[in-house]
Amino acid sequence: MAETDILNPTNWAALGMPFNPNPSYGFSRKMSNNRLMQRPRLGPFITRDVGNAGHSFPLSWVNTDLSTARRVVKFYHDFRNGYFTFINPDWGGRNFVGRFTSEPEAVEVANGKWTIQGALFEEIPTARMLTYPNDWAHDGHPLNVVDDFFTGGTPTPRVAFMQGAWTLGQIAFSGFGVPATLDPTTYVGIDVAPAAADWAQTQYTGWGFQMTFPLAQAYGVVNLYLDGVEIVTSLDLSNGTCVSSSAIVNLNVTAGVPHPTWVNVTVTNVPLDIHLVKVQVTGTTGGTFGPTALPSAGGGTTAIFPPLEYMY
Amino acid sequence: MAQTFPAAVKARLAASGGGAAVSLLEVYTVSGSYFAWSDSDITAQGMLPVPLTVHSGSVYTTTWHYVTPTFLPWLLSAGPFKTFNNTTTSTGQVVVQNLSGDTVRRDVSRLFSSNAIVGALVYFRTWLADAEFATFSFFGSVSDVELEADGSSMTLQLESMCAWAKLDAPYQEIGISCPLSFGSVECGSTSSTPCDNSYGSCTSTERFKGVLVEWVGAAVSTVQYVQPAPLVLSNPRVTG
Repeated sequence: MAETDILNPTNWAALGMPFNPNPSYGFSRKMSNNRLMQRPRLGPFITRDVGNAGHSFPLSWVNTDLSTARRVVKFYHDFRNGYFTFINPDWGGRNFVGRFTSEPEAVEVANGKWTIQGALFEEIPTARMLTYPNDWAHDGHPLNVVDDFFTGGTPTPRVAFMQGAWTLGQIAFSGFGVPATLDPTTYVGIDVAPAAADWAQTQYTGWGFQMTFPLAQAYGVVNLYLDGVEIVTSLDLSNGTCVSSSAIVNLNVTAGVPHPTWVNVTVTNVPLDIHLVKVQVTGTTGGTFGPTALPSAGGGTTAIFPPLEYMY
Repeated sequence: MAQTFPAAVKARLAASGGGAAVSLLEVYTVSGSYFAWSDSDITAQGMLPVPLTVHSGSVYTTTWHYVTPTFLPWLLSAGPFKTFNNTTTSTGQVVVQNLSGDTVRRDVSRLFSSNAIVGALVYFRTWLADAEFATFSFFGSVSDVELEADGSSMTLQLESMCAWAKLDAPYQEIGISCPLSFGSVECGSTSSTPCDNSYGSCTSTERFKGVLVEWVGAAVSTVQYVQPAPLVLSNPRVTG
């Protein structure tokens, strides 16, 4: 009774099911708002993330067979206090874990034909999944270091730069050119010559996240935390290496000449919830900058807090 | 009380978006049980010290230390909290779920039955999780508990420390007459002649508890002069 129970397995025919268990066309894919939003009469919107709810789908099965109708009703009763997996076949096969929160009412509309209307499937947070969402192109959303408004022409940090002399700087993540001043996606937090244990942290509601650190000779070594748990130990922002990392972390260094240019940290296998991502400074000088070419020596301890992309 | 936020917190709060604060509630009961509840499944530094007993050989030593609990996501609602800029006691209210647990005794009911919740120390914070900073703190105790009849939730009424109205002073008239009963333990007189509560008739003057308003001579006179009763009586049981 959990994520291994799939309402509509993609290999349903091989499993001996006589009828396609997928719901009928025409259901909406509703995302949860999760935001408290207030707007002064003549002011801009101000939002805060206050929830960790997932998607909800009002599902229906039109003219399906008796076995499918009874399967849906059985899933409703079986998982009233738990959750099961629903696969959205038209959304890249993305998995959702949740349960029916309204009763699916099966009606025999003709001989052997059954119709179910109004079965509301709701995703529940903090639940394990067989396959965590990983379609960054469609389901990844930016979480910038600064907000979009640039009140008074200056950037406002969204990240809590709590300890250390963090400043905002700009980096051309596209790899070339000078970033536009009012482009919030280009801003990073920079802690030059930091003290050990300086830290900054941000928060999002969703599944996994990824963040891409630029690599440079002046950069040092940081630790990365997810929800207070160290997931990357001693990530060297000179060359993208680390001492150790959690099994859920995928580190990917972008090669470059004369030295690697970026290290991407991707964490996919975490359930839906409010998550905290923290960069903590170790104070250690970065190691060898480039593998072979000059200059090769590490030279600084500067820490970077780049923008995130989070999965929802 | 005015609170100055660090610049980093102010900068974080100025952003148009971001995470909202969560509620953290710690409870330390009279019987020594520690609970940490929140409306989110979150780990944070605790603010109430809890005892830690270690033993070396036959010597047991108890010290107080702070823990970093994982707060149970049981808080249904927190507030309103009412604070004042005078000596009126600040109050608050929190509601805790009571559904989980075994079918005989549910989680919170069990706590309620096994711990004296009333009088327990509480520390409540609205907690900016990313900044790891409390924008509001409430330190006090549980003054009242209400359990829903169906056992679905428990409501704790809180009051702050410095609840002056709850101070119990001994009942005592302050005046020129001694308030003690003649011959009582507090009086200590063994005389066979009862007094009339005046200093003049006191046979246990070292314990006389009235106010001496005037005396003559180097030594305290045993002669009490008649004085009018004071116009204003101070009573410590009444809030200033």
